Amino acid sequence: MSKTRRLLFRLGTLLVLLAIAACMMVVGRGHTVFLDNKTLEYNGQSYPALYKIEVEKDGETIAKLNKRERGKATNIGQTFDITLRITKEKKGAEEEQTIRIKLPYSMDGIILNLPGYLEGLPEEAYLSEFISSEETEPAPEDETPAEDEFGISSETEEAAPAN
Amino acid sequence: MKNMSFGQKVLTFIRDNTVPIMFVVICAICIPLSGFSFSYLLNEIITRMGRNIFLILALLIPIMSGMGLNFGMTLGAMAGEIALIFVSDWQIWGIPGVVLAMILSIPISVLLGAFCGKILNMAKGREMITSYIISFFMNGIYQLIVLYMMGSIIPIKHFSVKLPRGYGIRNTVSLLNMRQCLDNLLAIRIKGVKIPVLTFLIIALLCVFIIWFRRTKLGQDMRAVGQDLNVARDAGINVERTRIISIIISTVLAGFGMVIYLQNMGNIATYSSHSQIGMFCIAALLVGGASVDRASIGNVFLGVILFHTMFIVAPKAGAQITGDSMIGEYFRVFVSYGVITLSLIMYETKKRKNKSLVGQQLAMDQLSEEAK
Repeated sequence: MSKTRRLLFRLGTLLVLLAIAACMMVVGRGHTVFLDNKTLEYNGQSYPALYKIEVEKDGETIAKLNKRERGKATNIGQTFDITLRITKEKKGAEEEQTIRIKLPYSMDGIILNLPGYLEGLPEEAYLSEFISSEETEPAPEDETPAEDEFGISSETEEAAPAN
Repeated sequence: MKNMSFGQKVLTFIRDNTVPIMFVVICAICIPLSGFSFSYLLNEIITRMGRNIFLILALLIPIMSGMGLNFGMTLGAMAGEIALIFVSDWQIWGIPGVVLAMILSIPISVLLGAFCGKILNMAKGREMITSYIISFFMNGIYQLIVLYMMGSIIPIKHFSVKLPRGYGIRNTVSLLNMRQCLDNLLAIRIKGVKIPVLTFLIIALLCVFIIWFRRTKLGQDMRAVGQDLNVARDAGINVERTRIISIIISTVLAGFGMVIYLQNMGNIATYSSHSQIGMFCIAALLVGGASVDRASIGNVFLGVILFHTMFIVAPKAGAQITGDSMIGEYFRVFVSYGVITLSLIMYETKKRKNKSLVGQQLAMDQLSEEAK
């Protein structure tokens, strides 16, 4: 193999690996989505919470939200597909709606206000970033002793010679 | 061998396979004592096979090139862990997270492997102890990077990964969002026993790669280097380069193996996951009947099955015999170190015996020459 061919082959391999890595960064980005069935105030107007919303993702019910309740879902990628079974009022008819929401790449935790979304409000109204209290307040360090699958913890290792 | 009687053949077989036979006996005694059901035991063994085989296969190539048991595979394990820390920080989940971690581990593994290979070339004939000490040295560098540089110099943002003080990585990094994603994809259940088909497919691919690699020009060069350095050099093989490549391949594979291992576990014990991995992988390989200069894919599979059966049943059997499960815990650790020691002694004894046989043959040939 000539030197040029070898160099080209190596560069090609590097480019392919970089391309796969870039794809994985986009495709595999995980988000925690919090689904709110809460009254939303926007531009001086109030959008009330609905009586009941059942949320289904990939054929599985992930949340049953009554008024003022919050549900949680995880999603890999930037497209969030869910099916909502909405009951607007008590003893009212249930209607089904499938929705697709684009999630921003930069946000880890996202709050979706479902009544706001269903009213057709802009994204800034129904979507906001969830910031965990652990991020803002310093949490105590987890001092769980590290242990591998062989059952050797740092404590065991220290204790062993003494025995 | 053909002229041997049946008794002699049996004796030779026992002598050549002392360690696996010893483990078969230990397992045969411990399994009934442990009281585990067959399906539970099978489930555990299959899970551990999926978790460990890739890592152990990473040891085969350095053995082929005559560099013995690569204790430096810990370096690859560290590369895999660093890659997984980044992936956790960037919140890449599932299979894409595993793939990205594997890709990220490659440059780190290559650098560490090249470093290790260069040093091992300076310590020919003492590769095992040198690689063992290198792994201790690199562990110090790893701790420095992970504990002080990550978060301060190397950007780490996510609160679940970073220590609350603002730099350093937590004791345990959760991989819950990629836990067993490889094992669960395409998994099948037969009578309650989960078979991680995709993980086994990846292992099968690596086995095919190793078999193919042995037949390539580089693979043949490695075998030649493994048999005799000087003869290989005289044949025009760049011995030093070949040895470095074999260590690099082993380190990269160990990095991949560690990613597979940790995705199965579901968390990283940041400061200790890698520390014992080399020791246990080598012990498992030796239990399978491999030696310092000879190992096959079959040894890997047999070793994992026997070694991990012992690991599963020993604590319970120990508790049954002595009433204290800690005895079993210590027993399995003691056996791991013991089997490595035993194999090394047996290898050295065999080598000396062969050397003296060759000497005797040479002396006899000289005497017969003189008689003529």
